[in-house]
Amino acid sequence: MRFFGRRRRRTQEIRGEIDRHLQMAEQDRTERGDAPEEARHAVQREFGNLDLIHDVTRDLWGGRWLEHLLQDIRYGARMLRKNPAFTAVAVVTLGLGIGAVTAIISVVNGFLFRPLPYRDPARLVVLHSRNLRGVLAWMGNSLPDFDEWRGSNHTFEGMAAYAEDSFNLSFNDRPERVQGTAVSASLFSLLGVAPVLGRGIYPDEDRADGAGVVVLGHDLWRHRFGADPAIIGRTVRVNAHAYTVIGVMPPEFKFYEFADFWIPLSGYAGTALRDRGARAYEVIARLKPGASLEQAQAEIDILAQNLAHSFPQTNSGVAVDIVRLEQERKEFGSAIPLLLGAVGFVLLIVCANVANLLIARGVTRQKEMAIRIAVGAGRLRLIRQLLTESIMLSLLGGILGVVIALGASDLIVASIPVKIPFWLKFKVDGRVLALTFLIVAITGLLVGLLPALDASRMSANDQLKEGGVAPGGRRGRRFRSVLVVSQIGFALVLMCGAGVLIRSFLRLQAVNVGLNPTGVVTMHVELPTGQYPQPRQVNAFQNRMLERIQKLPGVESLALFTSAQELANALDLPGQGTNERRDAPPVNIQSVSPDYFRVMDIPLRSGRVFTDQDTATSAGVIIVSELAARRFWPRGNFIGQQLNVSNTNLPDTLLTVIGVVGDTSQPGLYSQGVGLRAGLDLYVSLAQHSGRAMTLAVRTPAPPERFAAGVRTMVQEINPELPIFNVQSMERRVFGGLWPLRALTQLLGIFAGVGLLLACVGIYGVVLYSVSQRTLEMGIRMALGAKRSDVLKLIVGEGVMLAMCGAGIGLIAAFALTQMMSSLLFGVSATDPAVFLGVAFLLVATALLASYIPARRAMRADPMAALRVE
Amino acid sequence: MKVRYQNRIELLQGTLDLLILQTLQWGPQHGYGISQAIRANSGEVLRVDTGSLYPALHRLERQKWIEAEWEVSENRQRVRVYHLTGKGKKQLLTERSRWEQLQDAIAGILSPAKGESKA
Repeated sequence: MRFFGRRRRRTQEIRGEIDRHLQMAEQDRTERGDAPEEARHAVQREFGNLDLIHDVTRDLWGGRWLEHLLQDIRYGARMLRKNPAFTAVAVVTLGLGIGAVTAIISVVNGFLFRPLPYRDPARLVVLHSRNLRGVLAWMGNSLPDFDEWRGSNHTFEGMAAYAEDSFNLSFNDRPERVQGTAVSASLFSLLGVAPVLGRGIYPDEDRADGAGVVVLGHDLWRHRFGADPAIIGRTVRVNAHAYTVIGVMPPEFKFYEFADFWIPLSGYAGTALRDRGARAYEVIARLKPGASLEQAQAEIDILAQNLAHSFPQTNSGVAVDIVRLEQERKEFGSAIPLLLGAVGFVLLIVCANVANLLIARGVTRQKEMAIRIAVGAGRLRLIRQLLTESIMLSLLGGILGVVIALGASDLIVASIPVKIPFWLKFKVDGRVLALTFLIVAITGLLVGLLPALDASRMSANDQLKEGGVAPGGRRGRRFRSVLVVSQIGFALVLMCGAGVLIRSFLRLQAVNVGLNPTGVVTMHVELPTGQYPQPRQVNAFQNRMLERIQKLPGVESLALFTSAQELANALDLPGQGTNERRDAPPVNIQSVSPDYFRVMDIPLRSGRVFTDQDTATSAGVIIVSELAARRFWPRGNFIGQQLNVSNTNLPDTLLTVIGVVGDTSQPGLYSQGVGLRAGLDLYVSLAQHSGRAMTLAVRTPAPPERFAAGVRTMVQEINPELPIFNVQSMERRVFGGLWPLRALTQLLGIFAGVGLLLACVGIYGVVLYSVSQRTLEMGIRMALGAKRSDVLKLIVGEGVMLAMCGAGIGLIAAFALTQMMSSLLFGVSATDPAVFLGVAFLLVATALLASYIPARRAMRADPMAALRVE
Repeated sequence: MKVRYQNRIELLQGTLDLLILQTLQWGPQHGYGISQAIRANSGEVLRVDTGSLYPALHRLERQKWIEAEWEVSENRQRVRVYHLTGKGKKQLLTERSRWEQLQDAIAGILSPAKGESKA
């Protein structure tokens, strides 16, 4: 501020000094006998351009650029205010583009760049056991292996094992399903995060016979326990066992993905503590300061080899990989580059559009520019002035964009139907804002540069002449045509991308998955082992539950099922040897109640389905899908075939095939891309093989949540500690895994729509401008006998010509670019001709409309009035 | 256009600076007084363009060769009066000797016969 004060004083001083000079000169002249009037004129003539002398003299003292910048900003603000319609259109357009980019950046930021809420997360690593031989490459770690690693390494500061699971948590007789993690006592100190209330887990609590203690997550503590500090020392029930609350973690803390409470690992693991074959645990470790990943890996390799030597039964062929925790969490789909590309295109279209507006306005400001040149503004100064204006526009657009992005990122999060791991936060944070600001600045320059060059390149003389045809104007028109063509090209690429995705998504949803998911509601119940130790008790519960729910209104049919995947290794399946191929269809084994096939609408091909006569004491039975049947018994004659079961507690060691049913398949995003995966489906009887984690499926016209409320009451009448969770329609269960694809399709669809709209605005603007420029020409043509329809054709033809050029370029670009999405497509080629042609047609048709509207104006023109304009 | 104006100042600069410094050697003077003195002492030949004078005065002031103060003139009006500083006196000597060198050089070129006959 001192700078400005000094500068103002200097200006006044110079002004005073020169005024004095003029007075003295005038006085001298009058003393010599000139008339006062005459004297003043003579002096002023002699002195020349006063303002210029002021300026030049003052500029000797520096500080000029800042003055100019402030001047430019003030002037720019005045211009923007004077033209509210123009400003609004430009700001909203820029806001849309910048908002879209910011929203996508905040998503990418959530995926890639958010630091984990632990101390020095760069030193945290996870250890994975990898099977070098079998089909399943990735396995968990066993706890005896973990003890060995922890005891004999030199590169790690600490190591902890954990297992994330979901539990029935009950407090004051209100049961709920909550995600929790069983952890080594050392975990909290390893991560470097201390509880905000109470304490962490003591080492002597992390023993097989240790006390049941639980540390609560902040969210759980707030929502479930009303943030009551007196909760410490109280008892909650986890899977029907009593646990004492000993601490509460800080708000940001989560571990590993979703868990909201932590219990000691040893009590949870039970016999797995000493079972080297029980590979169900994850291991996290902290590298010593200065220790490299390579050193740690080398050391672990030796430990793994030693273990393989000592325990060949369980450890031969097992390697251990160390991965940085940050790396582990940065995995992302191929969708991110696609999204960034699409949103970049949207921004380019926006830039082209606003540049177009600016060029058009530049034409209306030609006189103003000419005057500024005539009074001595240099070309650089003009360009700077115009760039200041465009950057101001883009700043306003940026502010609007951030507001849009704030709303949009909430929408994006809300549209994700699955639980998001805590470290994925789509927030507009400082980093996103900084990047947005950079984009705003670049956008401002990009948008303003062409129009500024165009507007400043004119000569003052040309412009001041009345009605002179500005060379700048003609060049401006060419610039604008190029801009519109590129805009249409970009829009076409976006539309092609969105078009193929939409087509593929529709195909995928209409696909026959082998069962009819419509009208089926599903929900989960899990019985704690402690309360239901015997299969007999589980069966009794299941029968009671089915009986009761059957009576609820609106039930057409119902079934219970549970995964029996553990049988996969116990069943002696013909032709499924150890030489299993990697691409072989997966074996799905489910244990189902008799009505399962009716509820799911899976057709029976031969034999029979389960009945109430198949009980725990009757002969073992199994139903197979057609695909499985043909694979196991290629020569046919499926019914009556028998399968050996080894190593289970099933009543019979032989299962007899009693029926063959239709195949089912699961649509999803697989490593080879989007598609349907048919499995070898095997069904055993729930009465003969019951599981505690079960799913209830009911065919009913009732909406899922309302129906679930009835079920909840029923189940809690049987056992008040049992929560009902994961209520969803069968459609969601089948197609829910496709949500990233759906979200991507929606986003790309929105982008394409915005792109199309903006491109049309561009065409409209160019044609409208050309109409206004060619009024005279049209008047002459019509005076010479051209029909109105001829004029219409001429003008519309111009717009359509631009659209066709853009569409042609766009088609070529789209042909090259959409190939990158191949893996995201189902049943549609990345260059689907129907989509490409359809989109091009749609675009040209819209362009036709966009140029018809202004063309009608030209057509209506009265030839005489048009001639008189000039 | 501003650029062209400044170029002209640049051309005159050396001479104008010398003239201003020399004028101020006879005593403190305001801008108008300086222009009148130059005009009178040159026998009305040299007229200082006022558009060059004030930029030049402020440039010399910035170089600290001259200093300015607001004083009250004989007819009780505030005027900005310049006077030479010590640094300015040294500068005047430098400029003078440079001017004399230039004068000799130009004279040598303009009347070469004199130089040749001497040799």
